[in-house]
Amino acid sequence: MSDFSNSVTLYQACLADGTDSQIDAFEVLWSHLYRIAYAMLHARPNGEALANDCTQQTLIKLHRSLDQCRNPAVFREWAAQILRRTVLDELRRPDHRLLVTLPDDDHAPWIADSEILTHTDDLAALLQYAVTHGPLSERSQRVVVGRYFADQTDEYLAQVESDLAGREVLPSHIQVTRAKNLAALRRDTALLERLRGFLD
Amino acid sequence: MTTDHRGDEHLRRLAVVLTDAIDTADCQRCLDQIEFYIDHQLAGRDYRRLLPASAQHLDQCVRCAEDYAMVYELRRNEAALPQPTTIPAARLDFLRRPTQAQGAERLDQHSALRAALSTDGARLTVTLSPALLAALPAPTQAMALRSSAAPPLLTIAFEQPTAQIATLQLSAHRHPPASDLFLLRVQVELYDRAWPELAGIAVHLILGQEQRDAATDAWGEAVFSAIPQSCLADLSVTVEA
Repeated sequence: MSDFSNSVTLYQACLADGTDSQIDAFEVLWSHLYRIAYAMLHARPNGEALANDCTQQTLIKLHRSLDQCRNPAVFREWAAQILRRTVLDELRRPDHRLLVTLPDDDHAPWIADSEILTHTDDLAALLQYAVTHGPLSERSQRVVVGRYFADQTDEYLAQVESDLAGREVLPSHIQVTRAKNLAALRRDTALLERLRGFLD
Repeated sequence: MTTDHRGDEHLRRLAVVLTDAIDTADCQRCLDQIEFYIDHQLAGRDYRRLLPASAQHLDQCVRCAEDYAMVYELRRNEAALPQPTTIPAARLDFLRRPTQAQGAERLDQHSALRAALSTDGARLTVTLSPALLAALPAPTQAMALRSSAAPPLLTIAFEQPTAQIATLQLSAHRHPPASDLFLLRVQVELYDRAWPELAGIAVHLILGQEQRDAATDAWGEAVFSAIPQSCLADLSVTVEA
């Protein structure tokens, strides 16, 4: 078998229709991509079968789209990107949606005080009220305030939280925390109407 | 918390994040950019300023934020990914060169497949028949259906059937397993569009007097479920590309 550690060599072999080299190259690609799919899916029900399917789908797509790879020197990474997107699209199929939504105690329904909504004429004050009095934990407040009031990066916020928690917190954790907590604030339609009034 | 002019801009952005509605098109656009977003992030660049629409959407959409987190953590820890104990064998039937005997057999199948196609402007129709199904080789397990261990009931692929459609694939799988019903997957690839821009192609399934309509997803796939197996040899599928 040829040495396919080089992306360009791998790519050229994948193009060589009808040759044993092409088969060898796709087998190497299969192993490479399956490991990634496995890492993304192994913890899910039927994860290995899903990884198998997603890798197979990707391999077929790659075979049909080889001419779309603009830079053969990064062919492996290009293939990996397609695989990752295949997995994300697969996980969005209705088959994989949760059938039961469990109550989320951390983000319970919250209604802004109507007096506050009516009498607050300053956008900053209103947002400050929502963040500090809404259904946000202390960490959640820090990641929302840090981003939007202090323009801090998620990398900085992750370091702060890591120091506070005594364990590693990643920027991706910060992002997900912020998205979930902003989603909790969006449940108050009166608050949103008031905010739209400031924006119009 | 004090704010200045730039602070006002951030607060307006927060208000927009909270009040703007989002839809699946926004999610698809975000996913299209997510690898570039992470490229910038891992390279230490100001990724939120370089891709502000993605940054805003990730604050608005929990699902996309979780997908971003999955890919970011995967790419950040590439050297330490959980490893499978075994790697299944690759299924590379789509690469195999036919032998001479297989070549003659394929000629008959090719004729049967061509006969099953008809076009009307931009509409391509595939009509199955008992004769066509008899001419096809026994389906192999090229695409496992999730937890199903059974081979598909049918797999057909048409290469370059029209000037617009590069490939049309049909596959039928018994679903639920051990039932008399099957699920039909219709996969479309076009010349002028590729994944992930294959959503919205109209696909119609005709079962006798009944018509079912669907549209393809970003991968160009439409799925029809709960079809009686007795209809397999008499259905037709029309794609409007």
